[in-house]
Amino acid sequence: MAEFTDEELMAFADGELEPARADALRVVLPTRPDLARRVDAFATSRRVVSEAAAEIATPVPAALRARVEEMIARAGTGPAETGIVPVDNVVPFAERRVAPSRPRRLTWMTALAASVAAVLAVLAGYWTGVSGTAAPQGIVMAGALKGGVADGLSRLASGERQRLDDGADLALVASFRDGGGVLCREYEMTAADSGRYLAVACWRDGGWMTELALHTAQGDDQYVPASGTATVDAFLGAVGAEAALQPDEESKALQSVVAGRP
Amino acid sequence: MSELPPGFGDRLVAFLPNLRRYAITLCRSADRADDLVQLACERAIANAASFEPGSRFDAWLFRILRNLWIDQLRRQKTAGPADDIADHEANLGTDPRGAVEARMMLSAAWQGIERLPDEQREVLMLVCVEEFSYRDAAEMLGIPIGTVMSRLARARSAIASQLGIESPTKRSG
Repeated sequence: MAEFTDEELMAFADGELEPARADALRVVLPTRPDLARRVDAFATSRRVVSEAAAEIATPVPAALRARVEEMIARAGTGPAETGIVPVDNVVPFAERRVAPSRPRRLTWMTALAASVAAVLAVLAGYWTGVSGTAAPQGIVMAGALKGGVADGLSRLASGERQRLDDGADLALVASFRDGGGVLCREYEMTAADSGRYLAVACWRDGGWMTELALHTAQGDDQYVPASGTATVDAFLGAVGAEAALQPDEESKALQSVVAGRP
Repeated sequence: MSELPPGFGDRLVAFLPNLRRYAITLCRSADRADDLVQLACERAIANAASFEPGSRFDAWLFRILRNLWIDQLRRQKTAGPADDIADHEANLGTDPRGAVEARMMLSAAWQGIERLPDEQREVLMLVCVEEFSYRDAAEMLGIPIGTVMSRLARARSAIASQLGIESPTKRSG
């Protein structure tokens, strides 16, 4: 008769072993203290893990609970009661893509606007006809990205970084598709003089377009984008982005970009 | 106009302790877990319409939280590791309840849990803490049930040896 694998002994301890195998195990168990000990070890580990988890899960902080309740109240009653003052240096960069579920998204964007405004300069490609603002090195403000950045976005896997010709450092963070299936890449640019930017660019009309660029650090190398990453998360949520692409999906998507058919 | 489905808010609030516990085991830091929970709630509320009534609310929320966590992990990969284990241990030490020995055992268990590879730890939490069946865990994580079982068995073997229980590491076949 076939012996029992660890997986089966564990499934038995969890009450998930298929009935025929469970019966077979029950028959041999009294004469097999070695198997019995292992079943017991699996049962004990489950109990201990569950108790350890209970131990570490301190009560939900009142502040967190209150914030969630507030978000629920806001969503339930519409945008009139958000109490958020629109900020004029932030433009709803995702607006052009939100047609299908506009009301929800716009409420969401209003909330996003407030959090964004607290931290940063937003320089999204489409609406920055705003001249006069110095473009950070390596980030082309209006329209398509070119040169080393564009090249890096098409070639580098997430987690890779590259030094560009102008001395800026390009680091790829993640790839994803927005709600419309457009390939987007989140990346970080660091230049000695202009500091660090966390940015999102999407592949549109045969080129990489900057969608969002957040100034996260000034010159030095301290990594502080706690608010920056939260903002990017919010942005991704607002454009309907799915979870980050897995490495194989990403590599496939990038091959298509290079081949000119993403 | 953007109203949540009836009962959605109540269910979300009621589920906060589970969501937070899951987040703590994923990020191994209470502070980061709270941020993650908040983000997950924001996203859940924004996408409330995409929740299919009749499907598992807990799995839906866990999935949202986990996707956010994966995004953050990939970001950290470029930014360099942020080590939070120390502040977590400080957290453990403040619990006044229980006998010292029991606490030490749980503390040892927790250390074992923290050392597990991420993919083993999350399966361990879903099954042993959140009481998901193997099948439900597989569905939530989008992996085959066999993978759930092998990760889970490896995780629990590691915990067992950490605790000095007989280590069920060798296959008998």
